[in-house]
Amino acid sequence: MKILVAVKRVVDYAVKIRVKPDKSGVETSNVKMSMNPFCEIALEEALRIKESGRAKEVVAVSIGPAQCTDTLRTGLAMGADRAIHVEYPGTLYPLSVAKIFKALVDAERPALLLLGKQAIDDDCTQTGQMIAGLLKWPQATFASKVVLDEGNKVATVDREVDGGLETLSLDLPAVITTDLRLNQPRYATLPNIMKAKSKVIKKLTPQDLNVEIRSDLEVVQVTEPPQRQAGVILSSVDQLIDRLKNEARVI
Amino acid sequence: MKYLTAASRLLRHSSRNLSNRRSNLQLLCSIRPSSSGHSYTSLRSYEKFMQDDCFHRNISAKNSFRGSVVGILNCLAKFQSGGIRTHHRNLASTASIPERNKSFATINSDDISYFNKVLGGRGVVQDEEKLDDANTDWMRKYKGSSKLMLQPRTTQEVSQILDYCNSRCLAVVPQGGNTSLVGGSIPVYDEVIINIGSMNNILSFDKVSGILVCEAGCILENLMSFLDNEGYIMPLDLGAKGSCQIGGNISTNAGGLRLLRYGSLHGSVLGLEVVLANGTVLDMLGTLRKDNTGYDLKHLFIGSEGSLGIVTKVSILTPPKLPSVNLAFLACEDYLSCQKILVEAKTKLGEILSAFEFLDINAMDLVLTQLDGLRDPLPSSKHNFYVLIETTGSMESHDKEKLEAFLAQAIESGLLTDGVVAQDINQASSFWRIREGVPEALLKAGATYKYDLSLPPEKMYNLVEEMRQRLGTAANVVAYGHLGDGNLHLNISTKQYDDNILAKIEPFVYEWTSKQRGSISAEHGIGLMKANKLHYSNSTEVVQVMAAIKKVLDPSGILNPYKVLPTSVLSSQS
Repeated sequence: MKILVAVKRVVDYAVKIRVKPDKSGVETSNVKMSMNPFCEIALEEALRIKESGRAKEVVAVSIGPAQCTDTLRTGLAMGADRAIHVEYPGTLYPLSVAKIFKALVDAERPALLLLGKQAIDDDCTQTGQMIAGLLKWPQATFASKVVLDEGNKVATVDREVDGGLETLSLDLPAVITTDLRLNQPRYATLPNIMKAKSKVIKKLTPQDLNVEIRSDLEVVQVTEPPQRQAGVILSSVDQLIDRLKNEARVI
Repeated sequence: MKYLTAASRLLRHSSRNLSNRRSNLQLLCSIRPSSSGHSYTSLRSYEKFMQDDCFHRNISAKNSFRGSVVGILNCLAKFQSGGIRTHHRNLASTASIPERNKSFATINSDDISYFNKVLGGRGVVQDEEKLDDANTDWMRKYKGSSKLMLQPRTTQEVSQILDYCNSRCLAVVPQGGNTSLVGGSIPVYDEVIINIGSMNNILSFDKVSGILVCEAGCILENLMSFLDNEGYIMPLDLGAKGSCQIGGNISTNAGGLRLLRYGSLHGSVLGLEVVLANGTVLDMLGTLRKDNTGYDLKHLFIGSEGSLGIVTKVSILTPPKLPSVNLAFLACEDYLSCQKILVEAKTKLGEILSAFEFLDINAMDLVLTQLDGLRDPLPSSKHNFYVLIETTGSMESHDKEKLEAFLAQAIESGLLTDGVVAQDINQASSFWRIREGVPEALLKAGATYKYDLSLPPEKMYNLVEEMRQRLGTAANVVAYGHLGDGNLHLNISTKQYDDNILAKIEPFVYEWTSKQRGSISAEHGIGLMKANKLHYSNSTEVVQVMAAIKKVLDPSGILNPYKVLPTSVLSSQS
């Protein structure tokens, strides 16, 4: 079977982000960009499924500006067989991404679509769910364990939910989004990095897929959270009660 | 440290709760340290916590017992101040520690009141627990018996303290982060500890030139964070960054991981403010790139380990932070390949090469066993040598292309057997943690005989192999270091310090190094450990001139005595 994995190019997790002076967004120029950590986990899971003999091909997909090819090269270096880059230089919201994926899935017909549960830049946690909705496919989000049955017909997925773990059984084809504890992604080894150079990255545009990018959302302003106020050491319980009552007004 | 083990044996006897100090240490060390303050800070603070913990548990267990333990400790402490040789038998280097210089005075209550006056009542530390910490070095190999630690906040206070100590002939030890690996930052006897840690202000930063002016007590990692915000980096980086202070770095001419790219502190330090032994403040705090006006005195203080003066302010040139950083963790079959890769890296990577480190298989095994949360980047097989190559540049695409071309060729020509390239900052940090974690892993494994040598690269590993032959199964010989700078960190790890093992190591290591015209201390300095070994790397005439300079700048010899220069040479001067 074929597995499609969505990977997003985001600001590196370890970078200290800064808001642009005009408050229109986060500073991304001259800042280290990498593959979204949850997407790495999704790709790792796909590769493990392939290594266990259950899948024939792992295809990495990324949507965004020209530099997305760097992220796709990382994916190929980890072991993906080929990649698709849907080039679009502007801002993308989850619904547009979901529509593009629907078009791609219709063309590629994978049995499994893996995504990270959320991207660390917008934290939307919407794309996987929207794609499943558009495709009318079953979905299991926040996966911490994925087990496929003998015939690749059913996936049993453990989900990390607020109350603990929930186990779902899904008929394939399905959408699964990955959570942190699913696996530990592999490093890109040199032999694989060399091999990745010859792997194919197919280029498409949203027009090729008949998708119109528009959004009903508009980011008005991005600001930093308010500075944390220094704490105060009080000298007595009476003082504490007084402050709670009169200043904080919580009692 | 005989008395410490005796005490801990007693503690174990009586209180079921108190477990072995070392296992507690391991437990606490498994707690993840913060971002990059790896080994050193976390280790220190956890040890302190553990000591406090033990103390408190002791009180709840048996009150009378506590009294007796303290009694024993006091008794043994008296032994120490008497300067009896038995204490020193536990030091790894049995080379005789000089006797306490009789011309030094001992502190009395008048001194304490004077210091209290100068420091305004705060910063005069006589508390035993705090002193315990300040008296012990990071490797827990040496311990002094100072009764007083001072924490000045201004250069003026340092000047007044030194002036007074000089007139009273009170010996002093300048102390920063106390991360010295050669016993240079702790007292040998009862020298007064002058801890510069409270002088930790950043005074100015010029965004155009990148020149930073700060006080000597600033912790290196804090300076790095400050500069990061401004788009600059410190020209040096070392594993101890979470604890070490810039004054100490300068006093020891610290090398570190980036010397290959940014050069030594002799090049990046533009100016210093130093206080001499008699309290004279030398203001050489220039911020000029070029200043050829007379003798450049600051170079005397860079690397003199606090024996010529106390550094109080620093002005340093910082390089801009470049966005494209790549890190490759590579494996080689033999040492010859490592050398060839170094040559290839220098020519093919050229100006973007920023670090070149190596570890041998023993070092790798040790780190992966002793430290938690580390993954082997190349788990598929064991390799004899590992090399870490870092590139830093301004253009990601350009650097990646160069690096990948270099790596492709290295693999094709068989120089490399395997390798991984970090794909994001987290992966890069985990590779660095492996290399930077070796000292900590050695500490956890037991006792370490640590040697820091500069040797011709072709010969470097021969020493390691000879040591392995000499010691056989008696010890684990671990080698790693700044291959790019020709600097080998040779560490011999055993369960306990053992004089028989030491006899097999010294003076063989020093003589071997001397024969190759190498340095017996590439970057760690001389401190106490190698004070009598100077002649292995310096001619008699040279050492005599060093002693003459010491006599001029510190006639009473109160600054960091018994360190750096051999006592025999110093006494012959007077």
